[in-house]
Amino acid sequence: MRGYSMKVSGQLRSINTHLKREIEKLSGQKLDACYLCGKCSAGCPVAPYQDIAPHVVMRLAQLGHKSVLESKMIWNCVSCGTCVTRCPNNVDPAKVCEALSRISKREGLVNSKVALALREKFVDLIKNRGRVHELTLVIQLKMASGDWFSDLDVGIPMFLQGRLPISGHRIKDLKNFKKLFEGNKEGNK
Amino acid sequence: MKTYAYYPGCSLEASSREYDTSVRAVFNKIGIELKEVPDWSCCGSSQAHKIDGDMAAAIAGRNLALASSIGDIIAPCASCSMSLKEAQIELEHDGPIRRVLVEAGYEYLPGSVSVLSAVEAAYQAVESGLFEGKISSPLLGLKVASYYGCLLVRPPKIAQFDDPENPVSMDRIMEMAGAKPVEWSHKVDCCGNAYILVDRNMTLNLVSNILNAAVKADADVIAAACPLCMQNLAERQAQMQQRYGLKRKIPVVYFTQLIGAAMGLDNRMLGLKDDLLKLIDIRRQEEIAAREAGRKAKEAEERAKEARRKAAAEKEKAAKEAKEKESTEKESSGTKEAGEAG
Amino acid sequence: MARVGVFICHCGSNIAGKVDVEAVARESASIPGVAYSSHNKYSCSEAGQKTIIDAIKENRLDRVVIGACSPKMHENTFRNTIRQAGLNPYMLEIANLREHVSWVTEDRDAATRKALDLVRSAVGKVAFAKPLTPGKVPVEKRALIIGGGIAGIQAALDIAGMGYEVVLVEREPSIGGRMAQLDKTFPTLDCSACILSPRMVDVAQNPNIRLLSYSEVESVGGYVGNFDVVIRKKARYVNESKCTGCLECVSKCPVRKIPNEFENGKAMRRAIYVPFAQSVPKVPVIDKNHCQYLLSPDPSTIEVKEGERKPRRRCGACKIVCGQDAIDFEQQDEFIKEKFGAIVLATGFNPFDHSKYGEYGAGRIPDVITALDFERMVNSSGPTEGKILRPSNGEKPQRVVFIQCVGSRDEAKGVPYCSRICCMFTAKQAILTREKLPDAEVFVFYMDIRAAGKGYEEFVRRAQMEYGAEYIRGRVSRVYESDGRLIVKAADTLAGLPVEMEADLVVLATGSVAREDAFELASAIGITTDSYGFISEVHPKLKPVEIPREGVFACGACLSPRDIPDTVATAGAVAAKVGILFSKDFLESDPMVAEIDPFKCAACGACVAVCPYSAITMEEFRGKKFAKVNEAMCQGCGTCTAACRPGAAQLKGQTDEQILRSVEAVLQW
Repeated sequence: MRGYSMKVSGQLRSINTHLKREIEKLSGQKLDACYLCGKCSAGCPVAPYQDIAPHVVMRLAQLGHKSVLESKMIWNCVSCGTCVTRCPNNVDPAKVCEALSRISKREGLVNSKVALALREKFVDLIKNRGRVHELTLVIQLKMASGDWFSDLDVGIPMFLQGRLPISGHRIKDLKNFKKLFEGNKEGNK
Repeated sequence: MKTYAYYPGCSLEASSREYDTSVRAVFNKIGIELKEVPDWSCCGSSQAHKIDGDMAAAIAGRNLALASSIGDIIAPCASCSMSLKEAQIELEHDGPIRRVLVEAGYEYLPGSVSVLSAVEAAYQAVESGLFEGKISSPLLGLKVASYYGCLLVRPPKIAQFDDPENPVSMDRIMEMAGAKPVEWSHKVDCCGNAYILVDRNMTLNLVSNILNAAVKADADVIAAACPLCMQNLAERQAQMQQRYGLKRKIPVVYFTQLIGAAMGLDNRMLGLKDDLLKLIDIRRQEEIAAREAGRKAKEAEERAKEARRKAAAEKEKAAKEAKEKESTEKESSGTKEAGEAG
Repeated sequence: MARVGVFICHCGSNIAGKVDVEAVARESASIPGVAYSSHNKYSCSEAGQKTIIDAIKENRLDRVVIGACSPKMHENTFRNTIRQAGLNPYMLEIANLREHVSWVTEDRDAATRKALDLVRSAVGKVAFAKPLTPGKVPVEKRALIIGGGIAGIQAALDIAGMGYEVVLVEREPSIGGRMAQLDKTFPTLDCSACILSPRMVDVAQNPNIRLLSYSEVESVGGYVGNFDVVIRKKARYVNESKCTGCLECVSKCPVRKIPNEFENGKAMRRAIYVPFAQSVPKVPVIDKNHCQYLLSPDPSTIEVKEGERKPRRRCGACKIVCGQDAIDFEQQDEFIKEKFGAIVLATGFNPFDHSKYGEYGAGRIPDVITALDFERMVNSSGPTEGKILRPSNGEKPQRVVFIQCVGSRDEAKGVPYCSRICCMFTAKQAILTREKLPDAEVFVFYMDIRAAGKGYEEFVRRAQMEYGAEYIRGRVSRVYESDGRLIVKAADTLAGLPVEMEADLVVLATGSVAREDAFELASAIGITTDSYGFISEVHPKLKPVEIPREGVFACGACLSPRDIPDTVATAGAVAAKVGILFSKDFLESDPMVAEIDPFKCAACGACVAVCPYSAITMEEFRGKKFAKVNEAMCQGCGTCTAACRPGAAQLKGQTDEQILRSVEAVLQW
């Protein structure tokens, strides 16, 4: 198991209340409810593979410290719900990561292009067809990561078995369905 | 016949068709009708809410609105059932999501629908005895590691089903199917879901930990209930053996495939591999043989006990007779003595 | 015409910060009946009180309204003030301008308007006040103490030491409580039993203390100085006066496999038992749910055919071996009714139910144990005779992990508060582990170390530096079994490292929670608990052992989680308070009780039926029937006045007229 490499840069001069409030608004979480016990980091399955641990994300968010926007952790949360299930203060760090990643994108500080691609391509696909077409999604992700070969041993047999059909289903009522995306800027590119 | 709205979800249309067919076959057999939600759309899964929570709730909510006229929804995919449950909680109060839906022409009637994962629905069916008499070829002796993953039982406030740390529903279902559920440590550990496409190394590490835990518990097979878990757990096992310390390969199937096998359903609908079917047979034979041996041993013991009892009774009888004889002799001599004394 | 004086208090800036006190005082002057009005920075100060006294005398005031804080705070103070000015102390009305106005209102104008309304209302009411004189009631100088843990024991000894009679009621077969279950105590490491047992014996031998063990309080009636209490003495089936404590009966009892509550269920007891070796009284109890004799059917209830023998009761071994003929299977629960002047609650706490921590496998994995399990295990008279062993296989652990804050500081599990004792007992248990198993490693996972107490911080440092306990800062996320060992998953939040550690034994520092039965007791006595079920005191700082029902006190962990020193200190404090109460032969009774005008009374009996204190009886004088209030028993609740249709029943100080005038005063403006 690896350690978190703690790549937090910068200095603490004061608290950026503006950023802090924005995170609270976007995530719906009360940041100060967190007393930084570290139980989220302790149980997080992906934390050992990231730059900073979830409780450090929480701390930086409490401070409104901009460095948190550059972290990888906020992009690679897999939304498994382990942290919120065990948090003694009913805080959901996953929702905080989500909020931070949205701000991070707006500020152009994205650390994980592939994670960004995953969620954007996913939503684009839904928007255009109403359903996800797995083959298209995989190909688009491969384009984003540049890693074309690592999953061929899985993909080719699946393709040959017909489990990754070339044509996907489109829902009938796409016109009304698309209205659901209106008014949501990020999903409506 | 009870009718449920059925929400297959995108994966069940393609990569996880055997989940779809096995769910339909199993529920059909126990008299539950599944009516596919008309023109259903993607639930947003684990990604849409990261872009925009309200949008995610709206697109998942559309399906709830469409199901309103049918009734409670069964969504086999854990990720789908979670998205739908989350949206449903949102839609129960009159908020912006409901308004967005109405503007797009979808109306959700509050309280009209509750969302169930396939495990929940199957567990309810077990509890209400719908499987009674349906298990024609029980999976005797088959050691099953029930893998719940994250989203089936948590976050508990949304899942509202089973224990988030030590769930037992799937184990009960497997027991009902005649199998032996194993106690193991990684029932609810995360497999990394779609992040296999983002960080392979991380995901394969997580998956091999889960698989190794099942191997340690000496499981024959892992039962899963989510297409994402299935993709991660079932594929690339050879690679994990070489590079991630996986001890041995272990088959992974949907829990409905196993129930189907126990109900003797046509394997064309279940899609179980020959190797596993063979293993199920072997385990069944072993278990029957073991039970037979146990029965015989018990009988032999009973016989031995009976023999011992008989021997003891005879001995006692002999002793009693001897005693009686003795006392009659004594009595007669006693009378004599008394007579003499008198 | 009444001459009312109105005094508006600034309460520093507490009231003046939100209410324009000068304007209120000025406007008050024009209320009919008001002869004088003024405002003062601190009315309750000595100078402030003098101002009031002087004003009363100079302006010949005959009644007073004070606009200040809640009457709960200073009503008595100001009653004394006006008494000094020669007025009857009940010619006073308080308008609560702080709790009801300034503290709960943002808008200054609105606050000022409301303040004036309240003053008007108070003036309206006080105008119809009548002088009242308190009655006198004798004090029954006997104290009832509920709970025989260290708190109850200490309070009993102290009150008895002052020469008053004490009855100590304990629901378990022996006194001793939680402290008797502990091995060593922090921070001195002296043996818990060694310092507790002598006090338990003192209780048994003190002529002023009567110990009722295996007993429970059924009901509490009456009032300060005169409580009527019913105590249920549960059937013990052993005659306490005959038993010599030889325990021959215990050794002959064939029912052996009953989990012993004293050992937290980790060792077995018999159907006739004493909880532990040093039990006081050392008189066994027969557990009627397990005794073969008591469970077998009573022969006298069985009918048999002629010629057949009646079946006999099973067993009865204890009765056969008892040389004193002390076993009495015919014993029944006994109800004792007694009078007490004061009641002390010392009902203690329960350890948190650790099985709520599914993530730690608590209650499921045998090698994950609670702190109390550990105390019994490490105690030489406990189930393992003092050896630290893995419950799963009886082997010595190589690595012991302690997890703090289990059932403390966890909002999600319903316990947001700090249990105060866990940091310390964990340090103690870490030390004991290192002493008993010098080769074993000890790890402590903590969030913060809270060691505020005499010698406490030093003690924790000793655990770390002298005994080599490794402290890791981070809350554990999960504990699970793997290959016969335990895996502890955590994070070292200071180092920034994920932790995945093997362990053989995990000890959960379970926090303290209120006893559910204490809540029932509190409701029976008519007192309140906080949202966690701990008993509420009158004031957390200035009246820490007083309870809102006068004459009732509380000490120890039934108030909030606390350690032994604090428990003993509050027990002493309670004794002092009881001593103050008992130093008087008579108490003044509250004159604000009901009275019934016999001329208006229609003798319908409605008041008799509704009175919760049975204080009203029907009398007859020269052929006229009427209801009469027993002033000593009346608690002034006012139920009868609401039930009385002819308006004959009136509550003194709160007459219908007073209430109507105070409402009118608000409405007419």
